[in-house]
Amino acid sequence: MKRIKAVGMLVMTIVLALLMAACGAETSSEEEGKVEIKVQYYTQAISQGAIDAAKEEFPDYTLSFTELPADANYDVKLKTSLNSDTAPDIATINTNIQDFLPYSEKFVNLLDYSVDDLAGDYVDWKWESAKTADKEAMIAMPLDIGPTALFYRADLFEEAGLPTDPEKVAEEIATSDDYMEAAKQLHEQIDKPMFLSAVALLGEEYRKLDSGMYNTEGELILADGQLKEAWEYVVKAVDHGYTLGTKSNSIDNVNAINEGLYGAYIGASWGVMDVKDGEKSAGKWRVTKAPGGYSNQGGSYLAVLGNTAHPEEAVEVVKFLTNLDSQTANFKENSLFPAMKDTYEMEEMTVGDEFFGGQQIYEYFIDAAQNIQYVYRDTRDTAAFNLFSDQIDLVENQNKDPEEAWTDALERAKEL
Amino acid sequence: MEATSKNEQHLKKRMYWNKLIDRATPYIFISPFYLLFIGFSLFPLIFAGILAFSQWDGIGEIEFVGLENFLRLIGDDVFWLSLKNTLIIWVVQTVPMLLISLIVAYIINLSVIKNKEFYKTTLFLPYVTSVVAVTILFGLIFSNQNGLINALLQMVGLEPISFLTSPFWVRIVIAAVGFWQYLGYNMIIYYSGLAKIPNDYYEAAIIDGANKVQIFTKITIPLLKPIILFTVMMSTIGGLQVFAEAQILVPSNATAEGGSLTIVYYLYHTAFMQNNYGYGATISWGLVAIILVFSILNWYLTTRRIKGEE
Repeated sequence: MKRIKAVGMLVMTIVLALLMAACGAETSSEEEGKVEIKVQYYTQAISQGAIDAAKEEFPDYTLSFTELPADANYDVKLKTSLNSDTAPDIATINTNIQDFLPYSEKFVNLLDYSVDDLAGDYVDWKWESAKTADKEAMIAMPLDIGPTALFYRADLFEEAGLPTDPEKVAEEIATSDDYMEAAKQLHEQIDKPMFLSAVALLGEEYRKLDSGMYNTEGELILADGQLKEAWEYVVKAVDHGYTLGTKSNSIDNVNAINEGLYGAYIGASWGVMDVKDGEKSAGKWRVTKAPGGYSNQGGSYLAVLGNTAHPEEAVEVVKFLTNLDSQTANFKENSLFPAMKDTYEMEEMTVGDEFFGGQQIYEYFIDAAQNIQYVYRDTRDTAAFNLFSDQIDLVENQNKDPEEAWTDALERAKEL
Repeated sequence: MEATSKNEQHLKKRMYWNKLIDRATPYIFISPFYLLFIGFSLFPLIFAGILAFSQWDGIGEIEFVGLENFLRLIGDDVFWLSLKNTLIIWVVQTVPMLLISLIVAYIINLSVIKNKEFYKTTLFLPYVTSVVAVTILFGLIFSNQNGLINALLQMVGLEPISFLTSPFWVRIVIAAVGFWQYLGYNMIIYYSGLAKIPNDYYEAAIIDGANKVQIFTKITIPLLKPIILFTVMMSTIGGLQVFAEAQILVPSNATAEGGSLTIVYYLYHTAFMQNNYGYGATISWGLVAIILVFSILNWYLTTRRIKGEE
């Protein structure tokens, strides 16, 4: 009798487990023999206009779009789905594409579908960054980019006796040293800090480096000494009181923008929306060429996941969602700066923006987009840099000795 | 003749099945818990155990590294500092919280207090609100530049305090969130414990001429000891796992030295931000060991004292 009980229980448990599993699998049924393609993207990465156009373009496919929050968990979910059978066919990848490049075999190699014929349409550095180090595989196509420019407060610059006209500012504040000199003048003349925080400034300098934290052999090289230079630069700014000490992406920063508490920052095109959150500062901000070199901050890609049942169709959809019309729609609706060069000619890129005193701000972002250089990045690049940015925060907020902070960050980076 | 035996056989079969279903039914009813437990607790537990001895970035192959992660944990300054942060936050939060919730429960239990349900409900409300929402609210109140508290300080001519960047203050703000949220929960537990204490004790004490403070310290507290033990245990386990409060108040550049990195935050950071799932799992086992030590200590101290006094 005991055995029967045990067997009965086991059977029931298995039945229940199977029932639960079946509930999950039910959704993938294909209606009327149409090819079903699932696209997963994080909030705002693809505009509604581009989605609607894609559905119209492919009437023979069932395209289903799933929007996920654009937070740190997005990557965790994407990584999990790379190892599962219920993964989407297409997914957006954020600017940290280097995390996925070592696992290119888990993606459809787009080079097998002759996408390289389209390479000339996109900015070169972004296109190359979706390829593995040996250039044998390409795992995604570029959606948008984040070329940077200098955002500055013309009213504060004027008060401090600095130039205010964008072209003049670009000319006179051309290098990182000029930028520091301007910070000095702003501080001495009107007692205002130029920079938001040590962390923000170190980020600006890091993005300008022409080499990554690791070389292609995986050795920690800290951009061949350039990171140390950037570190010293930031320490100097902190020592002289040129930083406000407020975090970016915070309510405090909105307040700081509104009240004009700091002079300038180097930010990406998509940050235009963030500056506009500080409504009270309308008309006071201007944009010009970033001092010290071109850099990129953010931007995304569309990849076809390796376990898709319809690679050919999925690649077609990716090509469509990254084409001229889709990128134009993304720019108009979500302020996503296109990775496709032809869009830089469009009318929306040349109109004046009232918030920026009627200035045509996009010319500087376009200039950056076309001049940024490709930089090789290791999977641990972001994590390693974050260790240094954590430590510079301590230098600024808790007067930690900069040398000690540097050594601590270095020790931890070696453990990654 | 043949028909009856067939019938009999059929009946036997049906009886057998009925019996089987009868026996299986309770198991079917309790099975969802076990299935969920296997899927969402047991499997992760075993997997974390395997990961603790491995190196894994979340996508590629899991590489076995033996005791390397555990050796690293023992010498890891950040881990010990984050333990220190966690313990400070836990003490600052738990001690006043349990004390005040006990006093509040005692006051509400007094016969002179009317509308008991109203007070109980109001104080319990924070417990059912989302920790994320509560923390965002606290973040606005304690914001460095334009927070409510700093605005008040500046109004009376005082210097603003860097609540979220000073290691001392950030721990207090994190503790304040937990204090506010779990006060009502512990109060309700104490309240139900108080209600169980027979009135005779109190009446006898009053006849003997004991005052309110004496009654509270000599009758209420000793009789509440098992319940106090329960709340201390639960607060210890919860307190050592503080995460969301810290993560929302200091979403970026949280460091152990800065005061905002708790053990679970460090675990999250290592596993999900640095893609080091192996070492992350090792940190989680470190946390398990610490909770175990504290639980045994709690249990030993309190049971010994309960036994000693009996």
